[in-house]
Amino acid sequence: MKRILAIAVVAVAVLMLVRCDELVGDRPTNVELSAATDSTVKVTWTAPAGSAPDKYVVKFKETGTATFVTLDDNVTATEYTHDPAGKTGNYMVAAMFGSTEYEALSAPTSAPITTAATSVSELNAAGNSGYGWSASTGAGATYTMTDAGNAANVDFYITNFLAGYSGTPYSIASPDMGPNDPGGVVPTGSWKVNAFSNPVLDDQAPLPKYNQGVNYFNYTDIATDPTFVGCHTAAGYYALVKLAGVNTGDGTVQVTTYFQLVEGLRLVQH
Amino acid sequence: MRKAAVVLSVIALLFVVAGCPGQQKVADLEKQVSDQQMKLTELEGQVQKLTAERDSLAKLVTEWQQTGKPPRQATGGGSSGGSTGGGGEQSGKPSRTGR
Repeated sequence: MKRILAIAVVAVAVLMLVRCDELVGDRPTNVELSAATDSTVKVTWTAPAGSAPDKYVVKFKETGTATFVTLDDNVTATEYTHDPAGKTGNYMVAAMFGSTEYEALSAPTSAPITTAATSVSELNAAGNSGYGWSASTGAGATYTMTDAGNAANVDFYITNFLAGYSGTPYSIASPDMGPNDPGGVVPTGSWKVNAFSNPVLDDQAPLPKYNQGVNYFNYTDIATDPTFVGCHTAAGYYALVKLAGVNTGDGTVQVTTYFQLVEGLRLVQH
Repeated sequence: MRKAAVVLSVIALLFVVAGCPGQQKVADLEKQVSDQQMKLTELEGQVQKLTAERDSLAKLVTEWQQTGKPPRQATGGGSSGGSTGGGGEQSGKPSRTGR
């Protein structure tokens, strides 16, 4: 009798273990964003290890707001495409096991990476006149244009296309223009061939869609204070550049940038 | 011996029963940590933005104090209006072309 009882208890324990494993779900992992088109976002993720969830819920929290809003609560695939109507924000994916929700630990954002105002010098002024972004972090930094070794890092430079820095207007220019710039200090090298839009009026709206040879140029003048300009890099990334406080006394411009880490996405709401 | 087996089995069962809600608690706590981390990231971004604005304003005030007049507004120019030609208003300035 005791043996039967012992076996029964062990059997129940095993059953509980199995049942417990089924009850406890797990989170989706590797939530990532990519560009479905230049203005829509594709969210992909990896299904939880173990048993499959009943479905997924995808939520969106617009930049500058505090709460997630459900986009779709009945997703069965491990991807979802969202048209954010020009907005950026965080994407949260949760796996549903019955009524229990298991949210992914990361909620990646489509908001651009902001690099705070940095002083960038005109080509002939003291200080760095080149500026470039890290493709992995989106952070911007300044570089000297007098060293061809910086060619791989520089995405634009500031110039007045004159010798000296007192003349205006200043312009934001593609690095490949450097060697022929009248400033005369940029050595030949593998400088990037980037392009710039006309000044944009709404700095929160999507940048103009890059139309090769039509609406992005080799340089754009800094005509107002501030001037917002869209940049399309040779690698296919978009960034918004704010150029303010042109100072012809010391030849500097205050540059703030918003780099979109999702390749090909032109959303820059920040 | 059998008694010991029974006791051990019961203990194992108790562990299992006690463990299930525990895992849910862990999941809830992880979610809370995740939420707080996101809030922190958001606040850091706000601090960064406000700091940049403060620095920018401080620079403008300094400039104003030094020159005795408001900072410059427009730089003239005007070739940024949208045409692909434009440029050439200064000697040596290259033409503005689409790319």
